[in-house]
Amino acid sequence: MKRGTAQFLWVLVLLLIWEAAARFSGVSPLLLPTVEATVASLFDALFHGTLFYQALFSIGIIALGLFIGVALALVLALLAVQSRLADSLVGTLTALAHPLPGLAILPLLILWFGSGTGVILAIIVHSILWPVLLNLTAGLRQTPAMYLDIGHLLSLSKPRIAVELMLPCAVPDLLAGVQIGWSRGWRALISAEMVFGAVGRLGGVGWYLFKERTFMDAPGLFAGILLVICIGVLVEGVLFSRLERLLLTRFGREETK
Amino acid sequence: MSFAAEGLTKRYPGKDGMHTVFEQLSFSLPDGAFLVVLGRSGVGKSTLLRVLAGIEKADAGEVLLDGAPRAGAGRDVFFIFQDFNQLFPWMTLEQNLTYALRRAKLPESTARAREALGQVDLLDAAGKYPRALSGGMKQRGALARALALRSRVLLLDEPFSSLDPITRRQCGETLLRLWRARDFTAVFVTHDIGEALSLGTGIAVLGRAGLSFFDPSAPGLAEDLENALGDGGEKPEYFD
Amino acid sequence: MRRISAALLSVLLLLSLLTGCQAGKAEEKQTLALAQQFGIAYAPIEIMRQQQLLEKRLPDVTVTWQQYGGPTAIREGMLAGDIDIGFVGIVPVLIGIDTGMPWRYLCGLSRNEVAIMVRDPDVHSLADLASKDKVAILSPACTQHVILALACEKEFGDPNALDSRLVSMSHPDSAAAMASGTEIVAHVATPPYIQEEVDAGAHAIYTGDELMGGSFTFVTCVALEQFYADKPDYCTAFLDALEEADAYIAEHPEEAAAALAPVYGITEEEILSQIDYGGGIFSTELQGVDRMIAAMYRMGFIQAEPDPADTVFDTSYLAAEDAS
Repeated sequence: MKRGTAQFLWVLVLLLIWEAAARFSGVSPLLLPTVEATVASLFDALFHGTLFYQALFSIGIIALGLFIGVALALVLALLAVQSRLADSLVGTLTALAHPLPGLAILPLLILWFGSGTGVILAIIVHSILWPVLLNLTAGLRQTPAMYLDIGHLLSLSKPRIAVELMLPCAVPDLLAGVQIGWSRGWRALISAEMVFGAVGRLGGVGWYLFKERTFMDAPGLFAGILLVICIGVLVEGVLFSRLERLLLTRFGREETK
Repeated sequence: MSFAAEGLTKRYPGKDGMHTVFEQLSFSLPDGAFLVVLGRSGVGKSTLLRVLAGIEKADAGEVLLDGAPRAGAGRDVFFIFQDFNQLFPWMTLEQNLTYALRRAKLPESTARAREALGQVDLLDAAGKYPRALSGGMKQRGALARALALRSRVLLLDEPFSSLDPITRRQCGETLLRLWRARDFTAVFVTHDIGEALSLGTGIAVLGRAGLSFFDPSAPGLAEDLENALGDGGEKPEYFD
Repeated sequence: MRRISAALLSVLLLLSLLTGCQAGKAEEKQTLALAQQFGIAYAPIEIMRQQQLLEKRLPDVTVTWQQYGGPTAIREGMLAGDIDIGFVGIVPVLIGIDTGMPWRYLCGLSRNEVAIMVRDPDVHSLADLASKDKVAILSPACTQHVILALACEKEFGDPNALDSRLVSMSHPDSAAAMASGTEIVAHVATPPYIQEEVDAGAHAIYTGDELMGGSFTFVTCVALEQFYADKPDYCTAFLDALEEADAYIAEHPEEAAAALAPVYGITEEEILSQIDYGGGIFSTELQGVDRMIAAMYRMGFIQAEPDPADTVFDTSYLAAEDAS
C-alpha cells in the first residue's frame, strides 16, 4: 500500500473515532461536537461567512513572515560565515533571542508598536528567524574544506565563496530549518491573532477560533481547529514535500562512497 | 626555471611542542617537468603540496613561478585533491568547468570546457551530475577542469590512490598523455613505488631530512626507493 | 530476570489496588467544587472562603476551590464535571443558554462600575475615534463587548460598527497600552483600572449604567441544571453563605477591606471606595436580566429571546422590575 493511501486511511480511522466519541462517550456535544456538525459549520463559515478571507489573511501573513525571516537568516548567516566578528554577534543574538517565546514578549511589542499588522509580523518573523538561522549556519559549516580550497584556487572573494560554494551545501539544512520555522511561525500566528483581534478588517483564523470559543459555539470552534490542521497538512505534506523533491535531487547531501 | 621552492619551512603545534614537517626545503623544476614525490604516510607530502599551491601558508620561505614569488593561491598553480568529490555536486560535469572558467574570467567558457572534456574522453558525460559518474571519471573530470583553466603547474595529491588498480593505471596513462600534449609542469604525490616508477621524469622522496632526488635511470632504483622510504627511524607525526 | 518481572508485576498490582481504592473512596465522598476568581467583583466569595462559611453549613462535604481564568474556561470545566458553581458575567451566561448550555443563574454576585475610557481629552464619542484607532476589550462575547455594542448602536445604529477594531487584552495590558501612546486609544474598563486610567489622563465617554438604562448585575453565580436538581441542599447552603458574606461586608466594611487588601494587592481605601459604588455593589439580587436579554437579542448576540424566568433557578432572585 502506498504511504499516501495508508495515511489517508488513518485519517478516516481518526475521524471515525472522533464521531464515535462524540456520539457514544457521554461527553456533552457542547464540548465535543460530532464530525458532521463540525464539517457543516466549517462549510457554512467558509462559503457564507468570513472564514475564507480570514484564512487567506493568515496564510498571507505567514507567507510574508517566511519570506522576511528566510531573507534575514540568509543575510545574517552569510555575513557570519565570512567574518569572525559578525559570527560572534549573530551567535550572541541567537542565544539570547531564540529561547524567547514570541508570545511572552507580546505585551512589550504591543506597548512599543501598537497592535497593527506590523506587530504580528514581527512576532512571526521572530518565531521563524532563529530556527532557520541556526539550521542554515549549521549547514554552512558542513561545507567540505576542500571546496573552500578550490574557491581560493579560483581566487574567489569571500562573499562569492559563501554564496556560490557554501550556500548550495547548506540547502538541506536550510530546508529543514524553514520547516521548523514555518510550524513555529504558524502556531505563533494563530495565538497572536487570538489577541490582536480583527487586524486588517477581519483578522485571521486565530481570531475566528477565539470568537467561536467565547461565543460558545463548539462546532464552530472545532471547525476552526480542523481548518488549522488542514492548512498545516497542505503546507507540510504537499508544499514542503514538493519543495524537498525539487531541491534535494540537485542539492542533497551525497553519501560518501 | 619555471617552478621553484626556496627555503620552505612548515611547523605544526603537536603534543610535545612544535613539530617540523620540513625545514629549509628548496628545489626547482624546469618547465614541463613531471616530478613524483614519494613518502610514507604522515610524512607531510600533502602539506608540502598545499604549501606549494598557496592554500596553506609556510612559516618561512617562498614559492616561485618563473622567478617571481607567489602571493597566494591562484589558477596558475592548480591542485587536484585525493577526494573523488572535488567537483561540485550541484553542477553537471560541464557546468563545473564553465563555472571555473567564468570565475577565472576566461572567454569562450563553453568551447573550452568541451574541449577539455574531449581530451579526457568525457564529452558524453558532459551533462551528467558527478553522482552519476564513477570515481575514475570524476578524477578525470577534475583534471579536465584544471586543463580548461590552462594552469601552468598542476599539483596532484595522490589523485588515483582510492581507485582500483586497473582504473588507476588508466587514469595515470590519461594524465601522461595530457602532460605530453599540453606541456604543463606537474608535481605528483604518491606512496606507491609502482605508480611512481610508471610516471614521472623525476622522482624524489620526502623524508625527515627533506626532499631527496633520485636518478630515474639508475638501475636498482626500486630497491633504493624502498630503502629510502623505509629509512628515517621514528614514525613521523601524521601531518597529512 | 523472572524474579524482576515478578517483582514488577506485584508492584503494578499493588498500585492498581491502591488507585482502585482511591477511586472507590472518591465516589463515596461528597464534594463541592467552586471556581475561585480574582478581583473585587468576587469579594464575597473570597470572604466566604476565608471564613469557611460553606464548610460550616456542609460539614460532611469537601469544599474545593480551583482557579479559573474566565467564562469559557468555567463553561468547559462545568461540562467536564470539574466545577459545580461558577461566577460568570451576566452576558456569557445568556450566550451559553442560547447555544444550549444547560446552566442557569443561581443568584447575583456583584454590580460593577464599567465605563468606556478614552485617552484623548478631545474625544467625546466613538465617532470621534480615527479609523486606525483600536478599542481594547477583555474578550469577545463578554459583558464589556455588549456595553461597547450598545454604545455603537446608539451612535451608529450598528452594534458591529467597531468589530474590526477590537483588541482582546487583559485589563492590566489594556491600561498599559492606553497609557503608552499606542493605537489602542479606548478601553472598556472596570475598577480599579478605571481609576488607574483616569490618573493617567483618560476620561469616560459612556458608563454601563447609562447604556443599560439603569444599574445591572455584572457578575452572577451559575450552576448546571443537573447540579441544582441533584444537590439542592448544596445550593441552598451556598446561597445562605453568600447572604452571610454580603451582610458581613455591609456591616463590617473596614474589617472586610483589611482581609481583602492583601489578597487583591490594592489598598484598603481603594477597596472601600469600590464596594461603595452605587450604594453598595454586592447583592444576590439579579438586576437587569430582562434588559440584557432584550438588548442582546436585538443586537444579534443571541438568536432566541428567552423569558427571564427561564434563565434563573429561583425567580425570587430576579429584581422586581425585571420579573415578568
